[in-house]
Amino acid sequence: MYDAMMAETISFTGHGGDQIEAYLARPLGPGPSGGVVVIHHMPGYDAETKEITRTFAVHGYLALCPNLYYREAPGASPDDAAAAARAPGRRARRAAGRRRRRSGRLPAGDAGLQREGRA
Amino acid sequence: MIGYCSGGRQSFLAAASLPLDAAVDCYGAFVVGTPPEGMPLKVGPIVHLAKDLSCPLLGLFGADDQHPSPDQVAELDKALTEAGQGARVPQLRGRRARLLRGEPARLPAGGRHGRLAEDLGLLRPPPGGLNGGYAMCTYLTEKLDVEGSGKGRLGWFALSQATVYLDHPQHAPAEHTLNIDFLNPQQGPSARVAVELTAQSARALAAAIESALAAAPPGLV
Repeated sequence: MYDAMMAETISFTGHGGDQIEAYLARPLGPGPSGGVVVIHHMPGYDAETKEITRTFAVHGYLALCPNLYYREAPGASPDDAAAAARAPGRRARRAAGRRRRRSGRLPAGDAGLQREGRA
Repeated sequence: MIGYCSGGRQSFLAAASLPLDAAVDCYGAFVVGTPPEGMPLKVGPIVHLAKDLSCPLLGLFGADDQHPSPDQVAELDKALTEAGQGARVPQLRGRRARLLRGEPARLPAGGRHGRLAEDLGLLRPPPGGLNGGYAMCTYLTEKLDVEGSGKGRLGWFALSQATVYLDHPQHAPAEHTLNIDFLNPQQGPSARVAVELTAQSARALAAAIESALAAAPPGLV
């Protein structure tokens, strides 16, 4: 099996027009390829999750792993970003929610999906 | 879509919200069951959304895990079966660590899930660098406002918040540690001093802090 692939950090337009960082791994063989979205664990968008993403591409899938903490901590190291995502108090989260609602944006990640799921 | 840990739950949510071809929930907690007090994200059970799944869902859980527990996995399996979504929830031996660390897991083969299970075999190679095992993410977090200073990679800075939680360490060679982050969110996520202590060390530290404060001459504290 041809296993060459290319992996890189990209930016794509997310909910509300936000630019979101993601790790894209794609096989270099002829397509078409199946697509897989990889969702990282709570400790963040880390080296291990990027390895999982690359492994999909080695096996012929086009894999994309969005950094779910990008809005809270753009450019931070994975452990600092996970700590930042854990840290905001209730008041800070409510304030952030108000800012997002005013700007027509919904929270990232789990909270936003859950809201849609409950709607 | 495939998600790990908290991402496993998000994978379930995505499959209930979006048209997907297949979804995999790797040991996501709180699809069934209510999170403990103090969890930073307000998430409730979402198993009632099983009827909305747009695709087959494969759940991978460790039989020795507690979040979710085997009973919760059984409840999820039952709900998925009742919803008729063709989902499968094999119980794999051991903890999730084993799922990710290379020990071959037995997945159900054949039928419409055969290919999915076969493909998933390739995901089992270890992500590497995990210390100990990932028995659970506790989510439990104590938060407090603090006044003082800390020295981090950028030098000294004022502290405004601390979080205290028992969870997987990033660095310490233990499965779970008592972690403390001293933070100043106004200065960004890198304004952080972090420690990861074994439970025994954390208790000793707490006692030492109390002793030092108690021994201080009157009027100093």
